[in-house]
This record gives sequence, structure tokens and C-alpha cells, in this order.
Amino acid sequence: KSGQHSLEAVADHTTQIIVTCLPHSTMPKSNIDQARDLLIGDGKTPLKLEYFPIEGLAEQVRIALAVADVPFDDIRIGYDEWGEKKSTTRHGQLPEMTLPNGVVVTESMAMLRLAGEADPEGKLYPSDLAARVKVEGILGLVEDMARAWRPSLFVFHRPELLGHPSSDKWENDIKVATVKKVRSNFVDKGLPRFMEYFTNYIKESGYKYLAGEDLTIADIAAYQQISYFKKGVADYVPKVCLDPFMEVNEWMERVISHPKIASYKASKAK
Amino acid sequence: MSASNIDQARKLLIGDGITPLKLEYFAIEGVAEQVRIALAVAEVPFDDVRIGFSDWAVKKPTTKYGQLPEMILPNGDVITESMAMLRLAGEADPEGKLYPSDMATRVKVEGVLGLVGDLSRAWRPALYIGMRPEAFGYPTSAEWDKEVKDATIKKVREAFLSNELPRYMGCFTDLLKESGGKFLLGDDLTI
Repeated sequence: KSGQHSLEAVADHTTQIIVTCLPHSTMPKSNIDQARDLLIGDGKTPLKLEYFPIEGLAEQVRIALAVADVPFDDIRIGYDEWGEKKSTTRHGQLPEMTLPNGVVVTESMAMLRLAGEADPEGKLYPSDLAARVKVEGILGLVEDMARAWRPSLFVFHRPELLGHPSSDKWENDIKVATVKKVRSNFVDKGLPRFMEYFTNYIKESGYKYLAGEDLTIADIAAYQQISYFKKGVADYVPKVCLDPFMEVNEWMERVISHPKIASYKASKAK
Repeated sequence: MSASNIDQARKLLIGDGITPLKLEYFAIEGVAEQVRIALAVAEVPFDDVRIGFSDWAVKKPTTKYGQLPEMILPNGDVITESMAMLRLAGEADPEGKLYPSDMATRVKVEGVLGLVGDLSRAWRPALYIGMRPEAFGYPTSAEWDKEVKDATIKKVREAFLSNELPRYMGCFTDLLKESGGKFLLGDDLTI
């Protein structure tokens, strides 16, 4: 009935159910609709995602947007442009995401969650809270792993942040020995521990994705973090270091073969 | 729908009200305090279980991922990761303000949570260099010359105080000015 503002089912004497509907505009929008409104708007101004020309923290966001069928301008800021660009950013950091309405979103994990909310199938970041809290638990584990790796990253690239001499001042033999020790310790102890935790999630899900049957933003974030170690880009972290972890390798294969992810990666490999 | 988030969260955290929620952590604030506070603000009762450091060796293998905190729901499910717990507690706020379901606001909350994570990450070497120096490529505490150790800790912490802390306080100050309200996102407290 017009004028009413609630959805009611009314049973009369003959157990006939009369359902009244309220006008669509008074119902709170679903997560999916809200997220797609923010990310797509009227479709005229494209979403912008700005980051350096690397995967880094932005790749998980790019993948999630692709899986959620959200178009975006994938803008790469060259390192030589960063000096000038930095002071125009909100917090001196990238990535930054500019919504069609002009609002600037910071923090890759905020962007990842928003992209997940926009999945038309509602699976990337389920609104069922029992499922969502599991996704959040895995996202936390991914961050724990990044945290465990970080000293190994910094000891090579920014040793002064750890109290060592800066690279130009640190005697090379000592630097090399220190980097080797810290990274070998991670590969020997930290990596297997985390791979065991991720393997547990895979087994619990029945050997599908990390949180269950469907791909979620937890898989995307974990894939980016874990697959890094297969690349052989870090000294003393051999490409084969993940080989012992069969279930993790099979899961990575499932993630990368997901049709929308495969299609996104193919579109970039030009 | 916002009512549904609150109901779902309260159902998970309170259940039938017979079995209390349990939050287990060490006898410190650490990463659990934010969860304890959020549960209090959301009016979710819980057993605030403190594990003594001396009991940790026995407790650790019984945890899902060798870490605390762990949150045990009335239905027996175990939740890990303090930030997952913080978000769930926020969803349970009867006023729907701690972790608003309006997506435009929520993405701002997530942006600030990310910034907090960045600050924590910037501080971490300075924090742990004293406790676990070997993780950063130094000798263990037992082996490291005490004077060199103290000088290194001092150097790293002073660098944090000079460089990182003012930078992050600048970001939080900007957010407060922008919010036009009492808290980081406006007039309402959020997670």
C-alpha cells in the first residue's frame, strides 16, 4: 500500500498471505549495489587506480576489480614522476583510487574490500558474516606473513630502517652475509609455518579455495603474497622454495586459472 | 541491509546468551585491547581470558595458527586475527555506528584502519629490535654487545620519533580537521 514503510506479511482468517511492498527507493541498498554505485557511478567517468608500474600492493586490487566486472583506468606512475606526484596524494602514498564522484580512496586493503563488495555474484567478499569473518581471518594471516617477510625485504633495500648502515655505507661482505642469514631463516622457518597454515585452510575448504568453494578476496590477497616467493626476484629465496607445498601449489594454479583472473592476466601480458 | 548485519553479528557473538563469548589473549593490552573495547562499546558481554606467558608454551599448540588472540563464539567456532574480531565487534553495534554499513563511510573507516596498520608497521622494527634482534640481522640478545645493542636501539627509535611519528601524526591531524567532528570520521566513534 502506498504510504507504508515496512514490508509485512499479513495472514487473514483464511490463511491467505497478503504481502505489501514498499517503494524500491526506501529499501536500504544492498552492499553490491552501493559498492557498484561508488565504483561505477553513471558509467561516464571511469574509476581510476593509480600506482607504480609494478604489481606490489595494487595488483590484488586490479585483479579484484576485474573479477567483479568493474572497469577502471589502470594508471602507472613512473618512479621519475613520483617526486612531483607525492605531495598531491592524501598521505604521501600510493595506490590511490579516485571514484567517479571524485572521492579519493586510500589504502590497498580498503580498495580490495570495496572491490570485493562490488562482485555481482556476492562471492568475493560475502555479506554473510560467518563467511566474512573467515575471509578476514585469512586476510589477517596474509598480513602476518607479509610482516614476517618484511625484515628480509628491508635488510636488502632499506637497511638503515633496521638500524644498519645505508647500502652505500654498509661494507658489502657484511651486508651480503646479513641478508643471506635473515632471508635463509625466513625460507627455512617462517615460510613452512605459513604454508602449513594456508594448507590447513585449503584442506578445510575441501581443496577448493581458501575460505570455501568460491574465490574470495582472501585468495587474491594470499595469491599475490605467496606467488612472490616463486619468482626468484629476492636473493637467497630460491624459486623452488614453495615446491614442497603441494596443496598450496595446486591452489595457486586454481586461482590463476579462474577465468576472470586468467583473462585479466592475459590482457596485461602484452 | 544494516539491520541484518547487526542481527547477524549479535547472533554470532551472543547466540542464545547461555554460553558466553570468550576472548583469549596474554595479560597485556597488545592487539586484543581494541577488540575488548569494541565489544564493550557494542554491549557484547565476553569472558576476558588472560593467558600467562608461562602458560603459553602449553597453550600454543592448541591454537589454530600458533597465535593469540583467539575468540571462541558461543557456537564453538574459533575466530583468529584481531582485526577480523574488531570488524565483527563493530558490526554488532546496536546503533550501527562503530562500523557503518553505508559503503561510502565504511571505505573511509577502512582507509583509517589501513593507516593505523602503516603506523604500526613503521614502528615495528624499533619495537622488536630489542626483543628479537636476530630477526633484523643482528646477533641474539645474549650474544650482542650490550653497548652496541643499546646504541642501535636508540638510533632506530630516535629515527622513528624524528621521521615517522610526525608524518603519521600529520595524517591523523588532517583527518581530524577534515572530519569536522569529534572523531576521525565525524561525530561518531568508529572502530
